[in-house]
Amino acid sequence: MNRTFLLLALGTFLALPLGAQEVVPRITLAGRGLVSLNGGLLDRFQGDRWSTDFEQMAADFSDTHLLLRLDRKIYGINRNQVAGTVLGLTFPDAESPAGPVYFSQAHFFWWSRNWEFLVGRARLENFVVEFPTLRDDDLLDYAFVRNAFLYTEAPEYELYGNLARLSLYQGQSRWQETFQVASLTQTDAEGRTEAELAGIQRVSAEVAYRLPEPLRFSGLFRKIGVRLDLQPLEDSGNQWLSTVTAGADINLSPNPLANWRLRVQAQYTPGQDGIAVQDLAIPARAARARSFGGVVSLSFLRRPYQVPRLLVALTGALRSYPDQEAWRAKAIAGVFYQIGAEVDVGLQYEAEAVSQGLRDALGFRNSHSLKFLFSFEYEALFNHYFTDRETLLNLEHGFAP
Amino acid sequence: MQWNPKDLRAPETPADPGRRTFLKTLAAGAAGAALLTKPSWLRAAQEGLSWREKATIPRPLPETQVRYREFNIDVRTVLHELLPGIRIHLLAFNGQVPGPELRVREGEWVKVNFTNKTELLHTIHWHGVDVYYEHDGVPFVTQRPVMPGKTFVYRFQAYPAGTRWYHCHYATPFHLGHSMHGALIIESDDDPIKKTFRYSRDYTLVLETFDTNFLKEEFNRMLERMKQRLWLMKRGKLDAKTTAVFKNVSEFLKAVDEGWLPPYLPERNQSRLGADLAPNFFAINGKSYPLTDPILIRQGETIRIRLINTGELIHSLHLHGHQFWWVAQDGNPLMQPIKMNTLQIAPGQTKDIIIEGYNPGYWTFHDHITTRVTNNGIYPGGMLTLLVYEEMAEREGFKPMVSLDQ
Repeated sequence: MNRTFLLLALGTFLALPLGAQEVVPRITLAGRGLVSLNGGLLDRFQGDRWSTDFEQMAADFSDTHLLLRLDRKIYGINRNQVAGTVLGLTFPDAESPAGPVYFSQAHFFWWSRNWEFLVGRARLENFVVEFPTLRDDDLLDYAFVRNAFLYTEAPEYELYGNLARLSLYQGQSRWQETFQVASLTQTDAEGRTEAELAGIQRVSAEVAYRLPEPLRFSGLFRKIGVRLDLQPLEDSGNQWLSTVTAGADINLSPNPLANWRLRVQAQYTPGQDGIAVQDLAIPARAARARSFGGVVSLSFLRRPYQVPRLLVALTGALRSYPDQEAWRAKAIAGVFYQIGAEVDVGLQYEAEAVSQGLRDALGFRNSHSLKFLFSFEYEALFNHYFTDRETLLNLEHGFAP
Repeated sequence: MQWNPKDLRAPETPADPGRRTFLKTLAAGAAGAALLTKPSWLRAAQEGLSWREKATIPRPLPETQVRYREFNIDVRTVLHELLPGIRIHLLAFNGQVPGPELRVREGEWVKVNFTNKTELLHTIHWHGVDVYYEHDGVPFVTQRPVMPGKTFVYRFQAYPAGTRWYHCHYATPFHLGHSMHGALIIESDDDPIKKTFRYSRDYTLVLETFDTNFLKEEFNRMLERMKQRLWLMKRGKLDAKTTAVFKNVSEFLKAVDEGWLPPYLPERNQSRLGADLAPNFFAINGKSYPLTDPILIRQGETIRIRLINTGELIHSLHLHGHQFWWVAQDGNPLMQPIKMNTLQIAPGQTKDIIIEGYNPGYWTFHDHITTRVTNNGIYPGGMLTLLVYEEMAEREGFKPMVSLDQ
């Protein structure tokens, strides 16, 4: 599969004049308005000495996003298939080369009881376990399979890509196998896009045992899985850069009113030779270096009367580069309080330290930051004439979405 | 056809005195009060006893003293096909839509072993039956709801005769909107309708409305909520505030004072119940037209039809080519049968009609609020069936075709 195929496939679907205009789709409007006031201390090397600078409080609305999903039931022998499209945009970091607005989602999807197919731009899902942090990219250097073709910091190009993904499900959707090919954005050191969504930059496969969302309190393992990501490095003699990720999301206490949860993930990239420690500041080079990443997180969710109110999370992460004898580590503590349905205020503290060798490359040896969060999430369904694939009825009482 | 008021016999124990007064007034205007047998509450009053004392409904007697007619009823989740391609998850008594029809004799002692085979809570309310109050099936008022996997035994003496029904009274708008309903026919040798009309066949038509979108959405929400509550319950961690079940009003008010958020607050929940409920399928005995069962009749035959409205809407049922007799409401015979061809029936009501076979043919019988004669908005469908003269159906010739989109 290559870009031409993807574009042709998309173009074919969009161009066909066979729509059933009288069938109004189900419409889902979702998203999140997220603003944080960030302040912190950065211990950086200036001239010939280290100095600690106070970073002024700044308002950050990155990760704010808007999603529109349109879908409908489609013709079929069993009348149990659904197809649709998602359009989504997000507001990147101020310095991101992705621009002021990034179209993070533009894909077609199609699902039935035991499979789900997606093609177009979507989240790469280049991890096994999601961690409870304020923003998606807070653990970018630790928990994600990095984009090996990115020569500048651009979280959006790490988290999203153009892809085709097939997921298979068995055993009331508790077993999942996912196969994915993706095109990634490539940039130069200035953030200019050198090649966008051309060819295949990543092939992935994941096997996981997981609890569907309505059953999330119904077992010990919310998820346990392993995945392999392969990135063909045409500029390095057609080598394949591999990364193995394994993780588990564990209900320490499946109490739905007071839920303790432990999340762990380990990641190993055999990497390439010949990467100097100072290269680790470049995302593509860091992605290609031999490295080990590990993240552990303990969280407590209080849901009095089955209404979420308080989330406290403590997360620790480490990324080591044995060949460069370098490492970096991060600790994140967060307290989030829901003042209304999906309306959160919160506080996140982050501390990061880097090893001796990496300090020069990254320009700092440790940092501390404090973020005050204000978040408003929403999801509104209109014309809700069928249900999602993983409802309890569909999982446990026969499939009839 | 003449209605003979002498055939209207007062029951052994009285019904609502208000209704009796009304009947008496009606009778005085229509057929003359002198023809009425005195109602028992009136007789009791004249004998120096209040009608209430005389009318006390007996507490269920031990099985050593009376013989019970026993039924086993459970509730389970089924995937029911209303029409080809329209399958919905429903809560169903004994897996049937509607639930099994129970037929008993008036005065017979009835025992129903009700087992809950779902993860939700349920009861059975005996609609229109004068049961002892502890067997009325209203959760938290007359009994604790029947928990998942548990059995509750309902006992009552079948009284009064007529077309009655039963339904779940827990989360009533939702569980009733499913198919947790069924007919309870209490037969009597003294049935004035039977005596007067000598009908040979007796049909029960359970009228149903389904908002399939709401049912799916709410069913999933309830299941998810209950799965968590059952986990808590097994460990003794379920409290009143989580279930929103309090010992009394004072305890409820105290909880609110302490900052508890009642689930009805708009900042906590937005239910689609009420004005937003939009039934999109209408059915008779669990099927929408054209899968509804026809009503069979022969020329010269008289049949009785028992209509039970289990849904949330008023229906206006019209029979083509015939005048029929409306003979009973809520199971109780009218003072005077009324000849008509269109009958309104409100939610919760039962009405009985008599059809005489004098006009051979194929005749539609349907809700004349014609938006209910649709399947998901497509006409014809829904609450429509046919009165079919069997001899015509047996002969060669024109037979009704099936049209699905006009």
